[in-house]
Amino acid sequence: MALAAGRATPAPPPGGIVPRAEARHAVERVLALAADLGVAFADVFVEETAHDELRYEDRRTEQARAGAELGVGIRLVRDGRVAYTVASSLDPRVLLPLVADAVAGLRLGAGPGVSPVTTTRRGCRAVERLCDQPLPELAHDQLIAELTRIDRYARAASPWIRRVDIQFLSHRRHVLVANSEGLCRAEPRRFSRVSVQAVAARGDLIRTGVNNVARTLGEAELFARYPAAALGREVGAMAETMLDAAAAPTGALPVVVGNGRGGVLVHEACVHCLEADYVSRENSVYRGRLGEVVAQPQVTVIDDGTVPGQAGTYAMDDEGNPARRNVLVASGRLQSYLSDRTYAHVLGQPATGSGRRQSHAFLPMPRMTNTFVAPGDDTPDEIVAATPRGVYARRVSGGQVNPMTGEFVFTVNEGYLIEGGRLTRPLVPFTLTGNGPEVLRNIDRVGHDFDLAAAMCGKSGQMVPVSVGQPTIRVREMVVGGTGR
Amino acid sequence: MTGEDTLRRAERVIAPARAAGADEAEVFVEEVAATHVRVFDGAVDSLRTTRSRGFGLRVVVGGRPGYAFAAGDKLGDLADRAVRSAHLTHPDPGSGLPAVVAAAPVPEACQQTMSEVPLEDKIAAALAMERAARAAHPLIVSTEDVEYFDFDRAVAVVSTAGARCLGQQSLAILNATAVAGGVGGCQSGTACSYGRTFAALRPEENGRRAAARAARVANARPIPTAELPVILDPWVAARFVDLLAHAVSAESVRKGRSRLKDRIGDLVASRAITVVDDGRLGAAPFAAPFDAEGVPTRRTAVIGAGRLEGFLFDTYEARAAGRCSTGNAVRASFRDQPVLGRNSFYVAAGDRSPEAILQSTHRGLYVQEIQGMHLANPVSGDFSVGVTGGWIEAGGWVHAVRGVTIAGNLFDLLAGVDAVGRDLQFASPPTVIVACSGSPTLRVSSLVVSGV
Repeated sequence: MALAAGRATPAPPPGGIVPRAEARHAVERVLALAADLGVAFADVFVEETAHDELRYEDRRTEQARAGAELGVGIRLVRDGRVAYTVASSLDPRVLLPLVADAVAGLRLGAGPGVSPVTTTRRGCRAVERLCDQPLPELAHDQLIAELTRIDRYARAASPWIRRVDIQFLSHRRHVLVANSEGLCRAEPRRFSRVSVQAVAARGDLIRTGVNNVARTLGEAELFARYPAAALGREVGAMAETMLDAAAAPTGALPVVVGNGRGGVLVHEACVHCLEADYVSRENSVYRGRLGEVVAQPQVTVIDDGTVPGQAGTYAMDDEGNPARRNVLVASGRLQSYLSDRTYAHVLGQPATGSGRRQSHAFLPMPRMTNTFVAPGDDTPDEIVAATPRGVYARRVSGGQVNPMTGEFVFTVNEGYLIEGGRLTRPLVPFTLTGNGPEVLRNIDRVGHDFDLAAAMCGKSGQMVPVSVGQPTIRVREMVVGGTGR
Repeated sequence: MTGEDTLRRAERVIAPARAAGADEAEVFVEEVAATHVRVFDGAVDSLRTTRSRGFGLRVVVGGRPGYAFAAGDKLGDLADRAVRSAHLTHPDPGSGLPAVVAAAPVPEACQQTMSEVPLEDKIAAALAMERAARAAHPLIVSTEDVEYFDFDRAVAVVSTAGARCLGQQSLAILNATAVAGGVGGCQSGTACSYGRTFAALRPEENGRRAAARAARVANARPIPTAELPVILDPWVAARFVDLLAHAVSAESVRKGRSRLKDRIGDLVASRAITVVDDGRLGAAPFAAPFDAEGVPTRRTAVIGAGRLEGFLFDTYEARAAGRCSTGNAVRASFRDQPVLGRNSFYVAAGDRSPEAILQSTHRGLYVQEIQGMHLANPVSGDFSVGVTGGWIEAGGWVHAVRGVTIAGNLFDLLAGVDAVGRDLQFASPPTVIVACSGSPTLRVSSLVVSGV
């Protein structure tokens, strides 16, 4: 499971509007056929997306890309086995043969699968909101003006900046979920992201500064929250700082992790291992441990899909269940897992509104939304001052975990050495590694400077936008992947 | 679907593009039929079948490039969107479409259409792979991500510059992860393999290989910090080769994002290292007669015995540098415009068996899996990654290792390679493959290993 702040592009994109009656008709026909064929559970996921990308590189709009896409994903469950079939049409003449083929496929193969059995009811309630309004268009001129400003401020931040590359990405989407239990819900969704990279060069040395920000809002709201000037200055300054970076140390050291994107730490170290599909595996690290102490009492970990506007926010998940605020670790005690519909049944626990998919082309699975360590009482300065020697991870670029083993890494792209309770010099980007449950237990200080940051989370070949967050925290010890002393 | 139908569908987009105001237009049509079978604990977990068709339209309007795409058969305002996109970009004299050159076919790319293989057989292969993995070793306690995946992919490129290309590719892929129990928690091992025909797959062997990889890293523990010889497993080495692909892209070089600028002819790696990009290598999981903009693919020498011999070019970069395209335009799907990338990009096989490399290592670290490589810096070449593997002494595997890192710079790593295996392997994740990296086993004379 890998997390990156960077360039991974989420799913695809459409422009036209599907008439509500057409969507409703298609969904009803599919669910009725599924019932006739003896399927225990069926759901239909319809999405219509308009997609735009702009690349502003080295002071020029180099690329502009626009796309439109209608997609339908149909899930059919029988004998605990799941068949999934995908189309890019709402025409019953296309969809119904696919359903019949998929059901035929379900008769093949040994043994019952893992998915729960439920009873099929015919029909679904009215399709409420799909495509009530057209997908909004982008205000391109204003957008390009903002990208130009980012570039200008990044260059002004340092004389060593050689180039600035900016990518803007937007999705406007309508999604609809209907299932054989009578659920039928729709949601308009929006996603905007800006990624900035500045390259600084001095002599033979090349270093980079990067940042990216995203919201489930329009581009105007994105720039209101993250002004172009601040984005540009920050990235330019980071690239310059890194020109003076020294090799990171080696060995096991205390690690102070900065707020915001530092939340990659719990995302990888802990919460992937709380996703119910992994929990259901016999040897998973947190199986059967609800109620147990897994962290210090100052540590509370929450996954909250309802935080307004954040990158992982939605009203309903991709199975139609409402997003929730799920307290996973409460004052050090394990309290909940993250479940989609299937694994909620497998574990005998409530679904947590965590069933997500990259696009209509994929089955949903338990995923994170906005995942964070709740703020504590310490001030960030105190935490650094109380650390005689260690590293300070100011900016984290991403991470990766093996959820079967708990082994994880996260990579620091702006880090500093702590000597005598002070930050002394910047460090060449480095990775920190540890074992998730062990590192979670070793979080010993929690600051009050809470923030959230956007990221892309990959799992089993599917990317979804999430946010990660925390205040400044300290881990007693992790292996620092440097090359120096 | 037949090839001629695919071409005709592409051709039908040209006239609307011209009518919308495009001076030049290139249509890319991609048709994919894919099957994905996932099994767990002796049963089918999920079957996913996908049939998709998508259109990508690249235009040039008054010297400005634009791109739009649409899925399915309803193209809607595809041509208008492409032309509107072009109005947003800066004029660029290099953005014209490539001149047409005929491409020779690559017959190996499509030896069998996977849609013809009965679904029962695909399910049986996945189940057999899982059974073999579970039975292979007493330490194996479970499996994860045991998957059969295949695809048939047809692409057509038709342009106002006269391109009329059709390519077809079919591939079946096996992927399995086995989980081994042991002191201090579980460890996992993954194996993947692929076949151009269904009959070429070896499901049991792939399952056993995953199990063997999991079992040999069971009971892993950290080692102290040291500078050590490091042996990179072929799939691990291929991840480093990915990072090199960025540095030899003519775009990276032109944009000041490569340390290899002005280094043609210089020694940039150990003399044991030869690196090739080949779009026509039938043995690799990716092979095609032409690239994503219809230019014939070919074999390009990148590094020969340690010396930098050339960069990779698409049409745009070739024009900027006064060179010829090396057929390296790629697209992940019809949603993406062509970008400069790799085809089958690999370190050529050496002459030593991987066993001989291990046996000749006095003390060192064998790296079986790495974490965090996606966060390495492609501009500077700096990497720092988590490692699972084995501690090697006197040419033998002493104990499994976890919880340590290796760090350094790609170019130092390449300069330090002192042994190259003859076991060239390509990474083949269970997805539609449009480019790939490969490597044999490599030994690096010294890397910094950070541990406890």
